[in-house]
Amino acid sequence: MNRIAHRRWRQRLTTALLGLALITANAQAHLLKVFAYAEGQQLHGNAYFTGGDPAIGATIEIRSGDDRLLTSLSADTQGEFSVSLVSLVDPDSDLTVIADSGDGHRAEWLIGASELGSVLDAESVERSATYASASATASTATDIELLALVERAVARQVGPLRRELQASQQRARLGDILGGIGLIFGLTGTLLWWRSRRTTRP
Amino acid sequence: MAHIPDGVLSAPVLVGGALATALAVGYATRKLDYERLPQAAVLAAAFFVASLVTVPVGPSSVHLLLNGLMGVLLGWAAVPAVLVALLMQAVFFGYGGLLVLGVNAFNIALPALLCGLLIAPRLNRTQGRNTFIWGAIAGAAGVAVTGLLLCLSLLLSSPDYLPAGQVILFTYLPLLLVEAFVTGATLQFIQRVAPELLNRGHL
Repeated sequence: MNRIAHRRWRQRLTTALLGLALITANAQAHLLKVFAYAEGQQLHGNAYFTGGDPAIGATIEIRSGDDRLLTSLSADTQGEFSVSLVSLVDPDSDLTVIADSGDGHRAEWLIGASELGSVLDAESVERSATYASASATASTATDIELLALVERAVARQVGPLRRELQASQQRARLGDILGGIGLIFGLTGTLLWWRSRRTTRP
Repeated sequence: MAHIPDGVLSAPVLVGGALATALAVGYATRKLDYERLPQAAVLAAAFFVASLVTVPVGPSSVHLLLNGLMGVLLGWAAVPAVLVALLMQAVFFGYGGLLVLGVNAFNIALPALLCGLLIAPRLNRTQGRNTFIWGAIAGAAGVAVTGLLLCLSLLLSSPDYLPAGQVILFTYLPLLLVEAFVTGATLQFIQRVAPELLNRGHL
């Protein structure tokens, strides 16, 4: 009787576990993430919990490569934020964007100096454009200006795509769940096998 | 928020948590009852998966911990079970981190041990509604002590985390009620269909 009940209990538990695993395959996870990209002289970004829930009102800090606090702001109701880089950026410096949801969740996103290069270029372009028109070599100036415009347009188009890619990569997948459960049972099996090998030996 | 991410806690807290967990795992391995390993695996898997069902509360989100349940059913075996499940969560889901694994495991395993030590012996002698009540107490205690330990780890790292600690305690209140109900109902069910599982629960 006990053995039957035991087996039934185990069966029900296994079913419940499997059901839970399937239901939650696409459920939101529990991890704060932040993503940001530069578009022209504007830094756009968003903070979210993996699975897509926005981190409403999360504190966003922007720090330079040498960990100096450049500015601090908070995410809006969509978890998004946007800040002008013109006054912030030194040349050749990386930026770190740090999000903090106020309960110990914390996430970082690094923007390399190379990505910011276009921002600074855009600035120098404007400067060189004024020089250029003064010295009447207008054709090169418009070329550079055009290049900056193209870079900005591409950044605007690609930014949201990169954001979506980030979000989908962070989602917990069914494979991860089953993999984790499998590893736990595999580990237990190994332990039991090792134990039984020891006890059956003369 | 049961999983503190990397880069939040200070080094002494990280080292302290890692040492405490290492000691507990060492002792638990010596006391390990191999008969209980399959149960430990099932509960570790449940703990691993339960963290995916998150419910937003205020600015944060919470999920079932199940550490009270693990404690009363597993006793010392709960320590390695929690550690393995947390490791899997860090690797597969990115919850917590590898450096803070010791602290996180300690914060979740210590309440489990307390439940195993203090509540399991009482639970073994109960029937029906009393099983539910003691189970609910175990579930609530697991969540409450974990919440306090979380706050303590944050505060020991830096006093600036006081507001974070308050947010955590606030989000843990609804979790405590749900966890109490789930643990109570699960234990009542186990008591009805397989009471022998409970009788092995004491340390």
